[in-house]
Formats: sequence, structure tokens, C-alpha cells
Amino acid sequence: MTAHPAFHEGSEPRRIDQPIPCPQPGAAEEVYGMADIQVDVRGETCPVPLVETRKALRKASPGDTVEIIGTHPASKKEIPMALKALGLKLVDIQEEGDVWTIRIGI
Amino acid sequence: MTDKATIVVHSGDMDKLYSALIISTGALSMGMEASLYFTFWGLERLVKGKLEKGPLSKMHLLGLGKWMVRRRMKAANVASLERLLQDFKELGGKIIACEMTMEIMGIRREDLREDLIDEYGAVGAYIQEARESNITLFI
Repeated sequence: MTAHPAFHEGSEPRRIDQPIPCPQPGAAEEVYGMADIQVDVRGETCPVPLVETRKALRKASPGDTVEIIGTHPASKKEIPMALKALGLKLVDIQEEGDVWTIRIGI
Repeated sequence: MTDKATIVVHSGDMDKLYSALIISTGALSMGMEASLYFTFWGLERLVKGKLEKGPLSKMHLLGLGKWMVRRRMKAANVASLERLLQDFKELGGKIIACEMTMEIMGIRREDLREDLIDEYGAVGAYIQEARESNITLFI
């Protein structure tokens, strides 16, 4: 995967040129390395995870995979609802302790 | 009918402005359109430098209540009104300023944050938005 010119600083959704470190060994590693845009909203509360997800989805291109990492419990349910309303594909949801990871296909 | 939320922002209270901005950015995030019609005390919050200046709707206690709530909000990492407003605009939200309020309160366009305002209107502007919305609220 090559570096993308649209690299954003701070809490902005950012394109990544490195595979995201995989929290679980084995088969999931390949899946984790596929995300094109990663949004880290750990510690953020309503409505930020949902809003940042939408902002990232607007910036994504067809074929991209968007990964949202957060801790806000309600957003874990709301983001899939938003995806359904937007007609986008929920690839999977993973949880590890309080941290959830939602992967979206564009 | 469009999948749209239209909210009348009548109150200038800090907590109520949070409700209006959270609901409207939430609607935009979930794929709806959203319009905010700022009138009376709500419009005062769009005067330059006044966004975060609203009192608490209950238990303001001369500012002590607001101070306590703000401290709790900071601890909970709640986004600022400014950030929510910027998100609202970035996601395509529309802001309408009530012209009658401007006249009554002596607010000129240059007093307002004109960069955020899409339209200056009256009741007709609200009705046109509301008649094609499936959610409309008065806050």
C-alpha cells in the first residue's frame, strides 16, 4: 500500500500507508491490514464517533475500507444503524475489552 | 418527502443548543439532510463571540451551575458547541437566520457569523423547510 497525499493530522480521518497493528495473531492480520482510512475516536462521546464516521465515509472512495476504533458504547450500535441507512456494508465488528473496531466497506 | 430534520432554535440556553446541534449533526451523520432555523434567543448565539455564552436552562445559579456542568462535560470529553457547529456545516447542514429577530434585537448581518449562515428568512423559509421534513422540532 502506498502513501496517499490526503494525509490529515489530529483527530481528522487519515489515510494510512502502514498496516494497522493487529490485536489478534493469525488470520485477522490480513483483514486488519486492508483498511484505507482509520478513524480513532477512543475516549470520544456522543455524537463525535458517529459524526467522525460520517466525515470519513464522505472522504472515502469506492472500494475503500474504513475502520473506526472507539470506546463509546452507544456508538457501537448507532454506527451500524447509520450504515444501514446509508446503504453501506458493515464488514465486521470486533471487541477487545472496552474498545470496539467497526470495519466498513464502501 | 425528503429524509430531513428541521429544527427551530429558539432558545439560547447552552444545554438546549447542545440538543439542537447533537440532533442535527446526528441526522446528517445518518444520511439525512438538516436545517437549523435560528430565532429569538437562539439567534443571539450566532452573534460573533456569543456561541458558548448561553446560560443553563435550569440551575444556572448565576453561573455556578453552568460552571459545574461545563466541568462535568469536560471530564466526559463532550465536544464544544463550536466543534459541533463546524461539523454541522462540514456535513452539509443549512443555517437560516430569522430576519425579524434581527430587527427586534437590533442585530445587523455584520454582527453575525455570516460565514455560517446560508439564508436570511422569515416564517415562510421555515415552513418550506419543515413541509419537506419528516422530523421537525422546536428547541
